[in-house]
Amino acid sequence: MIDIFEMMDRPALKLTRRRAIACLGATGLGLVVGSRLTASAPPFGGRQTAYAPPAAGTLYKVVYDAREAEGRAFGARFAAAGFPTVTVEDDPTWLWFDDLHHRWRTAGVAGLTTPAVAFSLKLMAEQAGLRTVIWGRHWIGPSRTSHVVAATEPALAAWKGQAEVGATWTESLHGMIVAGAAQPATPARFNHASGAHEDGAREMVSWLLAPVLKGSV
Amino acid sequence: MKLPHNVSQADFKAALREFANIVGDQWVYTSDEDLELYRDSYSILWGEADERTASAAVAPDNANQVVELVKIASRYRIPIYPIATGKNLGYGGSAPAIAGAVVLDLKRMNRIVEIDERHGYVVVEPGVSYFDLYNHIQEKGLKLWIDVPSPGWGSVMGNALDGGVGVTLAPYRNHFEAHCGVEVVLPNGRMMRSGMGAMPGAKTWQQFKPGFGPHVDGLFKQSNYGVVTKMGFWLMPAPENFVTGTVKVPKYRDLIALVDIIGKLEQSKIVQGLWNLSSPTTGTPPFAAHDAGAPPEPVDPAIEAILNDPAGVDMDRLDVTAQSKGLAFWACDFNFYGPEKLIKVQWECVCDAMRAIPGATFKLGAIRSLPLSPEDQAKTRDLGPFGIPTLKTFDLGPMFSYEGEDVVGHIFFSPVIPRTGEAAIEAMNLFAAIGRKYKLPGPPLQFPSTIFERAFLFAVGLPVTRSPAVNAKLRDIIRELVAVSAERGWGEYRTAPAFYDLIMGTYSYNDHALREFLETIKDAVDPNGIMSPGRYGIRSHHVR
Repeated sequence: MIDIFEMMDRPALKLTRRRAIACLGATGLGLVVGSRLTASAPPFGGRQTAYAPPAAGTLYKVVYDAREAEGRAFGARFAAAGFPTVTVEDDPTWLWFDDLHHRWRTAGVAGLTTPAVAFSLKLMAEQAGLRTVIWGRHWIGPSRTSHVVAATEPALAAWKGQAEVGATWTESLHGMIVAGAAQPATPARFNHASGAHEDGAREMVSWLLAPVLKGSV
Repeated sequence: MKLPHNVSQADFKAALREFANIVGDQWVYTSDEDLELYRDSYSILWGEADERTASAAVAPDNANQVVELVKIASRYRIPIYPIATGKNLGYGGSAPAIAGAVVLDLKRMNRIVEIDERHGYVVVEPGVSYFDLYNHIQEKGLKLWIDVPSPGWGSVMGNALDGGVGVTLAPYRNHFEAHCGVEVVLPNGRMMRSGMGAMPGAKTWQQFKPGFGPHVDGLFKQSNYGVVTKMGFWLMPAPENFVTGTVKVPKYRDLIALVDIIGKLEQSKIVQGLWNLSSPTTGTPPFAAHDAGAPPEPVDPAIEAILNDPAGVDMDRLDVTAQSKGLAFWACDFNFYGPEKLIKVQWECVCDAMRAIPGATFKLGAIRSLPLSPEDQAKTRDLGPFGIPTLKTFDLGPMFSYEGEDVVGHIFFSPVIPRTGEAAIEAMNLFAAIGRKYKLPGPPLQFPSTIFERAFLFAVGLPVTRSPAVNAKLRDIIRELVAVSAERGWGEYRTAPAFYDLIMGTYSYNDHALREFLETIKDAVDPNGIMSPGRYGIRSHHVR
């Protein structure tokens, strides 16, 4: 089940509405059987190879936009917890080309970035066999921040739990992402649900892309 | 379980089992979660009954598997829809052209079969992306360039077969025209090679396009006559230098002479690099300066008022005002590639020809030695002209809304208009008026693209939302655009599945003789109608 929480107002996060979107189906997880890799196989191909499920809480890298205070706070939280971090601005090409695509099938990648960066990385990740586990839209307006977050129940529970103890939303993202990475990835694709937000609000997207273990026919 | 049209559940399950026997269980996708990946992210029918969604997907590893899968599909009458990397956003993405088809996902077939630096060609499978090919060339240290679309994440083959384009030299930027030879699995399961490839042991398959007899390759572009499993492409030798030269002409109607002069230069092959049109009146620096990081120039308040007039831009008033301010109306950037002495002579020829326009000014930028260093690449805003793929297209600034709904993507309306200044002016004004009428987002001035050598392309991007009501309105706008263009003899060169039938319907010369011809071929080569039914408006007899 995928839940969407819509949250308005800051600093105290108030849960205003909870909508359960249509169930996207059981995950039917199973281990991917490895396919052969030849010496000439290009590195970006969609081949899925045999690998062990990532260790609980494993993230290959956390990506954040350091131009924004929220991005810096997000990155700092993960760095303090010992996760490898990297910054990105508007063009994720080289981050993906030189770094992410080599290793993101071994463990998830999470981030807080512009919507455009999130979208392009999401599509490249899906081509590599990863799935979207968390997709959060955050509108930072002049007087309030609004959120619409789609994620698995445990991840949302972590987000909600942090909010209830007064954590900022970027701190809550840390808990949510770690919880989301700590379980087998649920293949899902969210409907880009929108939410009410102030005029002039700028949007950032939080995301977790993780390796999926494909089920059988 | 979603079923293909006219296929029983028992037959579908049996077919899926047979597919799995060929490719392995893990490469047949039927779960809702997996099939979400075969929805068009930019679908203008998202969430509606008419949205084209897949019933399943199957991912073969090689052409022999494709042969077997096609035979199975034919036996069970299951429609299949091949995709390469599924990144054709704005024109259909990874979704099939009809609901219920099984997507044949070819991304696992990502071998670079052959690359020949001496003769300048490559042979690729469908799943090879521009990034794959670029990376391969860099790793091997080959002195070859690729021509990339923007963004560069798509399939080299898929982009070409859908009519995609790039931005370097003319022989390479029309991607289908740059191909040489295809290998195709036909709907009856037969594997065929075109051109010289039809000869066993052919030594010139990627060197001589026409082959012997009819040149059939065009039948596989924007069509549904087979699954292309290999495709050859001519590649550009890595040039030594790059430079952009800018010509500015003072008056609005100088565009007419400008386009005619450039036409002669292109037809004579003096100009082969892409040229870009912009207007200094908007404050946007010409492409070259923009690429070097020049910021927008402040727009004169009088000009700004004209550009932002809700009634539309009065071009004659803009013209007069620009001239009074000493601003040229048009700037034209020419890209040149090659040895320094060649590009200097080409530029000199451009200047000589352009002096026929009174008041024309000329500026040649700094000649850049190639390849670009990593430091230079980092400073270059647009790497497309350098044959380097990027994802930078998505760097379009903040996402916006239309009619109160978030814009989640775009769909292209892409008419081909005559290569004349008169037609460009007519199209600019016509599409600007329609854009104002429906409050479509866009800049005050939009210019035709010069990607094709002998015609203009006037690609208009319309927003796509997740609101069925707003999307329905957008579909009506597109129908209006198609109609007004067809009235003028301007046809679209490419479209999304939602508009295949509409646009095929505009090519109606002699009571739709072209469509009749294409359908006759379709019935002959695909009597069971399994191959991408409905793609580009070509339908089998049993679904017409």
